[in-house]
Amino acid sequence: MGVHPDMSLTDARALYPSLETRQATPEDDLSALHRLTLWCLRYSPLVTLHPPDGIALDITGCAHLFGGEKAMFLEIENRLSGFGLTCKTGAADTIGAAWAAARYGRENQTLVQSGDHIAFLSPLPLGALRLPKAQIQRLNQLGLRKIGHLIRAPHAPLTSRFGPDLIRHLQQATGATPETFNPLSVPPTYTVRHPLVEPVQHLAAVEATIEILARQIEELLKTRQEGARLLNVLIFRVDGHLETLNVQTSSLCQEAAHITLLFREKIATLHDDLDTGFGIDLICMSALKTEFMPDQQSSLSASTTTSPVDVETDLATLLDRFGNRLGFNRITRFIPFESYIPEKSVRFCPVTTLSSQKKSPAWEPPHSPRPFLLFSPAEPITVIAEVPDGPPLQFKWRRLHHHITRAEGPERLAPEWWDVGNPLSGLKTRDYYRVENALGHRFWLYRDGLYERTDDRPRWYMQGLFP
Amino acid sequence: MPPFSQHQKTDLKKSLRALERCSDVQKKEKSPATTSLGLSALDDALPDAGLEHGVIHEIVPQNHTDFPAALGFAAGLVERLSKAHNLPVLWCSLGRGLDHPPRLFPPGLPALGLSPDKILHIDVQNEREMLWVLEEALSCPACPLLIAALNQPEKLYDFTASRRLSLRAARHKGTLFLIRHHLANHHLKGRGATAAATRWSIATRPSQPFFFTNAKMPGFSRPRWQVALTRCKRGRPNLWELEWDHETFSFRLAAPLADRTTAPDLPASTEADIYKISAFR
Repeated sequence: MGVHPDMSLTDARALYPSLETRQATPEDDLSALHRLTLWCLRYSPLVTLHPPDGIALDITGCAHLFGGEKAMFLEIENRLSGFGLTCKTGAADTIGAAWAAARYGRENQTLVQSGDHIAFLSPLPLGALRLPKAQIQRLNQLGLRKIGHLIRAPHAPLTSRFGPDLIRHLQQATGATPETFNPLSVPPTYTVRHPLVEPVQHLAAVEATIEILARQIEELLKTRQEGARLLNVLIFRVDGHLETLNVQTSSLCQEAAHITLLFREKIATLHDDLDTGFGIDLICMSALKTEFMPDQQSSLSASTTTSPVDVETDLATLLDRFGNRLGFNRITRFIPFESYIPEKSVRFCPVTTLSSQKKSPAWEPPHSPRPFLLFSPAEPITVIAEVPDGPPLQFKWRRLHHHITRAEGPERLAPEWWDVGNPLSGLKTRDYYRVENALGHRFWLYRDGLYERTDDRPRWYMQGLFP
Repeated sequence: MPPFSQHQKTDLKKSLRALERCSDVQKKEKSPATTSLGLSALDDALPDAGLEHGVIHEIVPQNHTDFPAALGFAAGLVERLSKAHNLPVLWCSLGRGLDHPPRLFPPGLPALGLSPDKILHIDVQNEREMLWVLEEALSCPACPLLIAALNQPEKLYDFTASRRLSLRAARHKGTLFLIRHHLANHHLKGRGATAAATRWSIATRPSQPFFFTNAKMPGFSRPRWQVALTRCKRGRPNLWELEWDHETFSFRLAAPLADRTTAPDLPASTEADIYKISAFR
C-alpha cells in the first residue's frame, strides 16, 4: 500500500482514503509487550523486552529443544500469528547484532551464523545500531552511512565528537565490549516443564500435572541434596495469557507431597480467579531459591511415636500452609530489640526470615511489670493529674471516664540519646504510670514530655493493658 | 435420587465407622488426660481433678472491658498445660477488624508464665480465616496448645463449627482456649450451645490495695478476677474470686473480707496473714 511508520497521517490518508486510525496508547502497548514477553518464558528462562516493539530471548542452549533455531523461529512465528501478530525474528552472537537482524534482516527470519555478525552488520544502515535519530542524521551528513564505514573509521575522533555512546553501541554490536542481558524475571535454578498434547480446561488436570512436575522437581532436588525456599508454577494458556503461582516455604523443602499440597491450596484459593480460558497447553514448575539441604533421619518406629525431627517437619508444613494462604508476614515470632521505647522493643519476625538467621537474642526479664497488650501507636487520652509529676487521678479514654483508685509510678523511660531532641523522631522523655480503675481494670499510661522543659508540651497517652 | 453404587456405599460406611471410632475414643476413655490447676478449689469443681486435654475451653469476658482479664486467665491456664512439653503455643489473634486493636506485647508475657520464644503468633483478618487456622492447627500434632481471641461479634462460630474443632482436637489431643466475644454471654441464655468442654466467665475485680508509706495512692498487687465456671460436663459450676500470682505462676483464692460483726472464732488463715504483712509493710 505504501503506508509505513513515521508517515504523516495526511500523507497516509492521501494514499489510502479509507484508512482506519486509532489514538496511540503507548502505555497499553508497553503492558501488552510485557505480557507477551512473559509468555516467551516458554522458550527460554531469560527474556527481556526492548521497548517499544521488541522482545529479546537468550536462547543459548534452548534452541535444540525445539529442533534448532530455524524450527524455533517457525514455532514462534506460528504461535504469534495465531494471536494475530506479525513478527520478524533474528538471532546472532551479540544482543546488538540480533536486534539489527530482527529489524533489518532481508527475510522474516534472519539467522546470522556464529562469527558472521560483523559481515552481516557492515552493509546495514546506521539505524541498526540503536542510535538516536539526530545522531544518525549528523553522521549521514559526514558521509558515514553504513555500519561498515563506522567500523573502519578511527574511533578516537568519533568519540570526541559524538560522545562515548556511539562507540559503545558499535562495540556492543560487534562484540568488542560485553552487554548485559537484563532478564525480566529471575532465572530459576531448576525448571521442569510439562507440555500438554491437548489444551486442558479442567483444574483437576492442572492439579494432576502439578503433581507430576512436583515429583520431577523432588527427584532433581534430592539428587543434588538441595531444598527449595521458593517455588513457582507458570501456567501458559493457549491464548498467550500467563498465570504465575508462587509458593514460599518456611524451611527448605524437597518433598513432592508437600509441594503438591501447597500448590493445590493455592489453586483452591484462586479457584474463581484462575481462568483456564480456551485451555492450558504448558505448565512449568521452577525452584527459585535453593540451598544445600542434608538428608535427615526420620523416625524408624511407627508413626505413633513422635521424634523431634517429625514434629519439626509437621510444624514447618503447617506454617507453610498458613503462610501461603494468609501471607508469611502474618505468621510471626517475637524477637527482642534493644530499645527503651516499648513500641520499638519488639520485632515481629516472619517465620521465613527467622530460620535463616542464626540465633535470635534472648528475652531479658523486664525491670518492672509490663502490660501484655500494647497500643502501637499509643492513643491520646485526657487526664486529670497533679502537676508536675503526680499520678493521674482520672482519665477519659474512648469516651469512657475512668476513676483511678490504684497507681504506681512514675517509671521514666527516655529515648536513646540520638533520638533526644530530634524533631524527626518526635520522641520525648516519658513518665509511665500503672493505674487501676475502680472496677479493677489495669492500664499503662504515660505522660509524653516533662513540665520542666520549656519545649515540651506534655500530653497523656494510653499505652497498654494489664490482665 | 440415583441409588448409590456399591463403591460409594463402602466408602460411606468406612467414613461412618471412622467417625464412630473417633467419638468412641472420647466416650470410652475412663480418665482423660488432665492437668491440675494447682488450686484444690478449682480442681474439685472439674471432673477428673483437672483441666482436660484435647478439648475446647471457652473463656467469655463479662464485658468488653474484661477482655484483657479473660486473655490473662487463658494465658494462666496455658501456662499450667505448657509445662509438660517444649512445643510452641499458637497464638491466633483477630485484630484487623477493630479500629485500633491492642497487639500482643511479649515483655508482659513472662509475668503470666509464658516465654515469648514459645509463642507463634498468627494474625488473622476475619473469623473465617481464624476458624480455618484453628482447624488446621488442631489437626497437626506439632502444636498442641492454642489460644485464640475472637474479639469481634461472632458470626460463624456456632455449634457446628465448635463440633468440628472439638473432633479435630480430640484426635491429636490439641487443646484450644478460645476467648469469645462478650456478647456471647447474651446469646448463651437461649440458643448458642457449643461443643466446648468448659466455659468460664471472667470479670475483673479491684485488686488488693498495696500501701506504700510515702505514696498518695495505693499501688496494686496481684490482678484479681471473678472466675465463674458456667458450663462443664460432669463438673460442678461454681464462682470464685481468684488472684494470679506472677511470682509462683499459680492461682490462689482471694482472701474474703473479715466479718467484723462477731468475734472470729477461727484462727485467721495463713493466706490472710500474708496479705496483712504485705499491706502494712
